[in-house]
Amino acid sequence: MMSDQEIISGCVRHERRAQKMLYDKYSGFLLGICLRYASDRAEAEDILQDSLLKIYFGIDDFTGSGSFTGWLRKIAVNTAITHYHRNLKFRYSVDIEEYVSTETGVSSFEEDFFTSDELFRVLNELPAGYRMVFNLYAIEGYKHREIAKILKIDTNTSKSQYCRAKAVIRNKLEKLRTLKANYPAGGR
Amino acid sequence: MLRDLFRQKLEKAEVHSSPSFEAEFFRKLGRKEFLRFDPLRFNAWYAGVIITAAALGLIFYLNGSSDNEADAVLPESGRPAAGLIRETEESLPPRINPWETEQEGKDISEDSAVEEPPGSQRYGRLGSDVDGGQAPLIPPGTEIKNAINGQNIFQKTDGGSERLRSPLQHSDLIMVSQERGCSPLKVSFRARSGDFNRYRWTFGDGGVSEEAGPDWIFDMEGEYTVTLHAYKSDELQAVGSRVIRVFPRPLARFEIIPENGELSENRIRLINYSVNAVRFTWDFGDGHISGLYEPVHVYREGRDHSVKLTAFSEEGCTDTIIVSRLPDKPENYIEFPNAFLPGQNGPTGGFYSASSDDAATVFHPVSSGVTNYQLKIFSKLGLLIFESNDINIGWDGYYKGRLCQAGVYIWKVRGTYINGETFTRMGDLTLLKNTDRM
Repeated sequence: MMSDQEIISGCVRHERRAQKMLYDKYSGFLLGICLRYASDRAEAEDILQDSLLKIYFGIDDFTGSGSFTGWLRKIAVNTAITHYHRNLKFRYSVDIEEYVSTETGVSSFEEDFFTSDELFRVLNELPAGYRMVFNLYAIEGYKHREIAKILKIDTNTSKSQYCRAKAVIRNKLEKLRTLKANYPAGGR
Repeated sequence: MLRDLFRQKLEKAEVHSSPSFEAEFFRKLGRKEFLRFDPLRFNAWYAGVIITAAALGLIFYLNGSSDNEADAVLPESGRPAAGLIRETEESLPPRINPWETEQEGKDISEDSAVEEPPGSQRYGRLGSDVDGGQAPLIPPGTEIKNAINGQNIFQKTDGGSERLRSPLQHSDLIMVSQERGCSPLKVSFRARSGDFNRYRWTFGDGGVSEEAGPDWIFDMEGEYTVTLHAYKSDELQAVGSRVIRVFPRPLARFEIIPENGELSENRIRLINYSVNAVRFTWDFGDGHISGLYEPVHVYREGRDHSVKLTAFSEEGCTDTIIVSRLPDKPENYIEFPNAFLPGQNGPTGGFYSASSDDAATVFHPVSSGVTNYQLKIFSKLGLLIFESNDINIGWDGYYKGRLCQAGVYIWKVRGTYINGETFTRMGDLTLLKNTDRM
């Protein structure tokens, strides 16, 4: 296994071996990010492919000052955002106001109860706009103001979408939980 | 909570890509790498050079002794292009003096003075008479003498004077009820010394008035220069102007979470959507107030208060909005469909989601504000075939693991809403079967 430093300098020289190493080491991590922003696996792989190309051809831009994974993450997130903007007009949007309003209480979710696969699926099922805002705010840690600028929406839209996204997620998790509690062996 | 859960589980989550993706990706990468110039590796550029060289070689080979001809082609093809550039340069019109063109737009009587450039003697003299540095906007050539002396000035530049503002600003000519305020701002104007018989007010927002003491309402934020031309028997006596500043009014907007007050607890969260505001006052209607941006409030008794938000802008302008939370407004309802189409792949347990709703595979109500709930479904013969005490579980159309027959069934529901009201409803439903669908 090569070190990050070797991989980077190899990739700067466009060595196939280093590129393969980077792929083996980080593609899982990157696909994890892409999957959060996508509605299905095929879309996630599209985003991953674009991100990897950007990474391989833009690795000269990595200054080495921050962490390498941080840089990779940033590229994947930005690619996902570009992807979102590009596909905006093709998406059909679901009006889910109706079932959002049945917001369940403020209950906490034990961390070990849900597998990351299940959480991915919950995110994938969200409407694209909610998913973007939730990802950027809750996981990436952007501020609503910044998200508004990134997604070209209003700050208030970002806030309310985050709020609604949370309600939808909570609803889904609650259902998943009862389901899992009733059918401990299989689930869905 | 939710945030931590997702962050913990997904921030570093690794997902493995399919092998076909990897192969496909590296093929694509290979293509891209081929297109990139790299002196150390064979790539599209080298290939291009080789192909060009080969093509040239072929041409030379075919033309035989065409060395000189090939040379001659280049300068010839270059010459007309160079000539073209020169010509276009020459054909450009001479640079236009912006001052001159601006002059043409104005209504000026003395043509001879028009050509005088800005900053001339005449212009300088004028500037010294005037306060506020407005003078540079006056075109030279406009005859301006001291307006108080009653000279015939500005008769011809009526339209222009608005654009130029008045050259002779007597800020004490106009009296105003207020100089600044929040939009919409109503201002009363009056001329100070009343020895005039005709007035002409321009308000800076396109409005004009001929009244002696007009009232004017400024709807939009901004800075308006209000100008008064005061006449006595058709002779301009005085010109004065005042600047009125109109501040934008903030917009107070907010949302109460939970939206319909479904939660049994009395805790509400407020989401602030106000714009243009820097300070806020919340009145929760129960005697409590808050100055926070987005407060959380707990009602001690009752939840049927209205919430009032007052937003203050930087300049002190305010806007108020009241949202009432009537106890009956959060509608409690329960509604049932009259048919459904169960899936044929075995019992699902009756959990429903958006996708199961699309296909209508689960019979369940849509509701709001239901706390207690009992649903029973009977066959036509009165046999109880399904019972649920959980509103999140509907009927999947199976009885003891077997899909029920298509036909009519009876449902009955009992329960309570959060406000304590009980409900009992019953009706029939049709179980449909579609043999095409699996």
